[in-house]
Amino acid sequence: MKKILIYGLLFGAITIVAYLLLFAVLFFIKPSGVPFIYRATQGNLSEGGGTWYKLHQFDKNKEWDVIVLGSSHAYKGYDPAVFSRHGLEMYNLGTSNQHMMCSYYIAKNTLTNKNCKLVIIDLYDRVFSNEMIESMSDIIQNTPDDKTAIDIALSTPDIRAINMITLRFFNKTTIPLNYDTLGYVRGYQVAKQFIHPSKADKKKVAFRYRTNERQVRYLDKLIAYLKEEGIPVVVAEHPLPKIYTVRDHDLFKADITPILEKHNVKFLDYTNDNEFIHKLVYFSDENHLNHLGVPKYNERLLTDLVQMGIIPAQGKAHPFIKN
Amino acid sequence: MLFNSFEFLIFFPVVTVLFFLLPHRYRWFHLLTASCIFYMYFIPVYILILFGTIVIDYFAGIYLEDTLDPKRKRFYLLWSLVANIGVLAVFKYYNFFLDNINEAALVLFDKPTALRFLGIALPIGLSFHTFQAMSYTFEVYYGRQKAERHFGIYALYVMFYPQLVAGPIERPQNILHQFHEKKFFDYDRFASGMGLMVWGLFKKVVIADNFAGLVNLAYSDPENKSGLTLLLASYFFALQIYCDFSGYSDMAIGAAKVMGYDLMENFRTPYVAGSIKEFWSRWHISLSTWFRDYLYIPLGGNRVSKQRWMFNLFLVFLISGIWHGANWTYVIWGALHGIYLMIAILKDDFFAKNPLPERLEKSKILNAWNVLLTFHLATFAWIFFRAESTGDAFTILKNIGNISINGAAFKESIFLFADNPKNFGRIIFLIALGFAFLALDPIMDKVAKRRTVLPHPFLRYGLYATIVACIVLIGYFGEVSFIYFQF
Repeated sequence: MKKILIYGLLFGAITIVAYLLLFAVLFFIKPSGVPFIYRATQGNLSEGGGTWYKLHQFDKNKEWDVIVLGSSHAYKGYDPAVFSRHGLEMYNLGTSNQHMMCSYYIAKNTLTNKNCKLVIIDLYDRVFSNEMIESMSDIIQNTPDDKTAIDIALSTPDIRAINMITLRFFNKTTIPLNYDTLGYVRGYQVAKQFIHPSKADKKKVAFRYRTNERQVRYLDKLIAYLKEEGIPVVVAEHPLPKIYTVRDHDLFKADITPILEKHNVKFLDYTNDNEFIHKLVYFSDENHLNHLGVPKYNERLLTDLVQMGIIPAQGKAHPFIKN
Repeated sequence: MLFNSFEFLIFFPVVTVLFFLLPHRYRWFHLLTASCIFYMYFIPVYILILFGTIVIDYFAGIYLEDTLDPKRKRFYLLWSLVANIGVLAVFKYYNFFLDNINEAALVLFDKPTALRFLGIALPIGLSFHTFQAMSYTFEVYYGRQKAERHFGIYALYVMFYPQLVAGPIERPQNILHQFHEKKFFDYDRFASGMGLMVWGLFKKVVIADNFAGLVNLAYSDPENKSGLTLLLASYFFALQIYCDFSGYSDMAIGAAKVMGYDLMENFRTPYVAGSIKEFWSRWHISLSTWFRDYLYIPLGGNRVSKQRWMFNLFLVFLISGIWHGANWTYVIWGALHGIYLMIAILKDDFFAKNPLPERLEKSKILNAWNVLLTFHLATFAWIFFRAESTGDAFTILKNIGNISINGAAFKESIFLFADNPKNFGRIIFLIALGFAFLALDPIMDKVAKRRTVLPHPFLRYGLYATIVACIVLIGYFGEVSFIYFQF
């Protein structure tokens, strides 16, 4: 037993040295100016610059009225300018394919009742079914907060987290290769494309929902944390066009409803909303709103939130109602 | 459960530690339970099928041994074979045969048959464990193996988790007695087994899975890929399938070794073979020897007329092709290997009558040429093995036939594989890694199997530490199963 322990420790130490040496070689060698290892979201996708920018821009010492968490539906679907028109300071912390575990650690290490009055969590069946590699990679490598990155890395059974956390510390002071600030305003980036009606059929998507236990568990933890911190929460799912068939939406709702009921959180479900579902003009692709759809949706959402008494009516300075 | 999964990272040490902590008399039960859990990670209900065939073969073995009447013996053998082949026929071949019958019916009668396709998934590793079960009944039938009277041990023989889903296809003489023997923890065996597992994992996640993406890219749409792209992808596949399958075998053998069990060798650097015959003595050894012992030799082997000998070889490889999968692509793959071996017989005949000068016969250049030729013959056959249909395979061959090799075409292919200009360096790195692997594999294979002992322990530690570092850093950890799980 002693022999295994000693040899095991020795082997572990040599492995760490070998790993770091190999990592350094692949990080510092740059054929055609690009290293073998660089910040990316998933595998070969060279994305992630937008996340670096929005997370670094976020001022957690400021008092925000609304913070939005979620996937691309969040960062492409909630416009701070619309919220401003209602007298609300909003920052969009939505990121690509954001997993509930990442949302949880972002919230836990960033949001308090001092800097945030309301959190809107945008859920999306498809992302809620997904595994976390894209989101984990994106956040670990791009968040300015070491604790968030380490928390996420330690909470995942995915061995790739080791590489991501190493890369983070290797190039902590450098900006991503795909450093992209274009179009980002307080974390929001608008999509300005349209679906051409003649090509709508080709864009048809039928997604089948399947339960992802980890997502469900972390949604619960996320809401529990926000509630504990005294931050009101609303869960929303933004509109989808008819060409996007949401199968098993009831299964998705069955997964989240017990959690929302437990924490007494409202779910505003716009997936089959009549104002949007038949109007392709509001969508940039089969599941994202565009620059025409976002203001309309945001106005609708804010109106509903006022009616529900969750946010103050425009111009009225009464405190946020805690649900 | 996959060997390259997080679950296995927990499962393996827990099962191994418990194995050594438990008294010998409980170990068979512990391993059987662990094997059930391992198998049920895929489609739990299919364990009932496995259990059904285990019960049939267990009793068939006992009746075979207890009966002296040859007719009754044949009946019990047939009983076992029908049960095993029946399961294979239903789950693996029914839809394939029906599809072909429907095609024929359409041509002859303008309408398909009224029979329905079965909408069921193929149980993982079905061909492996049915063949292993059949080898038991054959051996008992021939009187070379005593029937196993302990039901749990027999069930463990079929279900032993390291080799349950993708072999090696064991023989009862090699493994059954080991389950009765008391195993003690041995550090050298532990280190040797772990080394083999690490090397197998390297082959799987660093080489096979990284090349898998490139192969899929080219083979999923061969119509629109250039000849050079498809040629490169075919070489990549040759590397992928070798690393995928031999990687699994190494991990299986290593996992068993840690617990004190010796499984048979399944691969011995097949791409250094100088002939197709030698290739088959190095590739999937447990299957090729199975076919040799239970099909080729009963057919008469080479102790028949030359024509019959050639027919025997062709038939064995044709059936080997069908064993791999219910698709014409596998049938053609098997037939090609049968044809290669038939040609080899004719070639040997010719050179027996017209021998080469001794110096040339033993020259390194001729040897290298033979290795290269064998590798290319195997790679050619792999095109059919990997293609999604025979139509695709012929499209690939047609496009490779129209190949243009120049700098621009090479750059275009690499850019296609890279998907993004930033990944250009990575693809070149991966190709270089593939070449380095092929060059070092014969040495590493000996080191991993402890046929070559490195002079200093630190050298061994450094080597395995680097392999582990490569696995973590370069390994592909998406959801990729082992190719041979489907067979």
